[in-house]
Amino acid sequence: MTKKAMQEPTFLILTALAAGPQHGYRIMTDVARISENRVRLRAGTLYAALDRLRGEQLIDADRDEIVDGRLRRYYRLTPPGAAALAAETARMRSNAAVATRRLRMLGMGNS
Amino acid sequence: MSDSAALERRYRRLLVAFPADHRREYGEEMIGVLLASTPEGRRRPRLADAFDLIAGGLRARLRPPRIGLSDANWPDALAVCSVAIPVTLLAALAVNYLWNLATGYGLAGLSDFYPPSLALALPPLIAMRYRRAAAVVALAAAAWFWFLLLRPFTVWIDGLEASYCLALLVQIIAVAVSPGPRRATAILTWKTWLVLCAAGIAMGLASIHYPWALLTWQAAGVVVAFLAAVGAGLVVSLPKPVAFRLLLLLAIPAVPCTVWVLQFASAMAGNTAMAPFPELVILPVLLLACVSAVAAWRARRGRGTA
Repeated sequence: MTKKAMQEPTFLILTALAAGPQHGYRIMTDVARISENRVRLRAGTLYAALDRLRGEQLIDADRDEIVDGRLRRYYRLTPPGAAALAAETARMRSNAAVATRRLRMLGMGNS
Repeated sequence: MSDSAALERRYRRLLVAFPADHRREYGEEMIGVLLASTPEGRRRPRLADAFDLIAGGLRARLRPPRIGLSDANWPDALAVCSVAIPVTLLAALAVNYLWNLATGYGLAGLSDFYPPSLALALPPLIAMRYRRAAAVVALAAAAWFWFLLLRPFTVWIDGLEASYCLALLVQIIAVAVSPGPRRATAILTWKTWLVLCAAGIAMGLASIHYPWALLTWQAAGVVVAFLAAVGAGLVVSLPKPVAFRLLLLLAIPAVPCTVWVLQFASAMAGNTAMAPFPELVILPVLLLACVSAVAAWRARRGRGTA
């Protein structure tokens, strides 16, 4: 059975954390930057995703900080999370390569 | 009230959409993120944020608990199980023994229960962390219940004995593969101890008074109320992922006794004859054997690849 493709917000959160541990607000802004503002996560969606990814052991809590009296928890990518991100990247690269080849055959691909 | 205080209060109201354990884990962080991502001067959440919080909360509430064979909560659930079963058995058997002593029957009327009294040694052995000895004692007690079940003059298979037998087999697995009682005592709360002792005492009293000599629907009501009370008590007093897995483990020994009680009540009412139902014991034992074999194989493979 083939593995289900990763959803884009999940891919972007894991990509954000691949740069190093980040807290919730930084993940939100980083995801927006990586996706060129195409994907803008809101707090409800972000924390539902973080909870799910922690349950799947793809990410974990790194450390807590108190800034201006507010809790700031940093999350980091786990080894299984890095492996899942690498696998998804390889899958997307392979799909993109096929699409590029076929577009070239139509004369539409970048040379 | 300042703008930011009013905004925070409204965000906190919206967070109620999420389950309590989600709020405990992420609530304060989410408030910080929400306030940081809202433009200054706003007193009310943006509509899109409000909708996102309500929708996210509903999704979190409706999401079924993830229970897989390999997830990290199983060791905790097994550790709790390794303590929960002997404590409950101890309470149930103690009520039985005390009742017989108090009513003048003495221990003579409990000859079938002498060998399973070994189960009384389980809590001290577990407390002293003699895990291997506890597993051997549980195996001996389970073997005796198995003998009681299959002896030639048994008219029907007694669900209570079947449940004791299965509980002790689950106990052996829990003792053998869990991180141990120290981990269990770190997870258990006083409320859980209370639920386990109350469940054991209720089981002991039930086996004395035979409340299942009732109409079928009355017996069903008693059983459902008992199971619901124990289940709710465990879910409230333990972390939910551990509680749900523990309930799955405890369901194995609970099945024969539950079915037997209902069948007994039905037979007493003259609806059906009491029929032997060995599959109620044999199937769970086979299931336990399969799950244990898979767990042992995965553990061995894990060690091999480590």
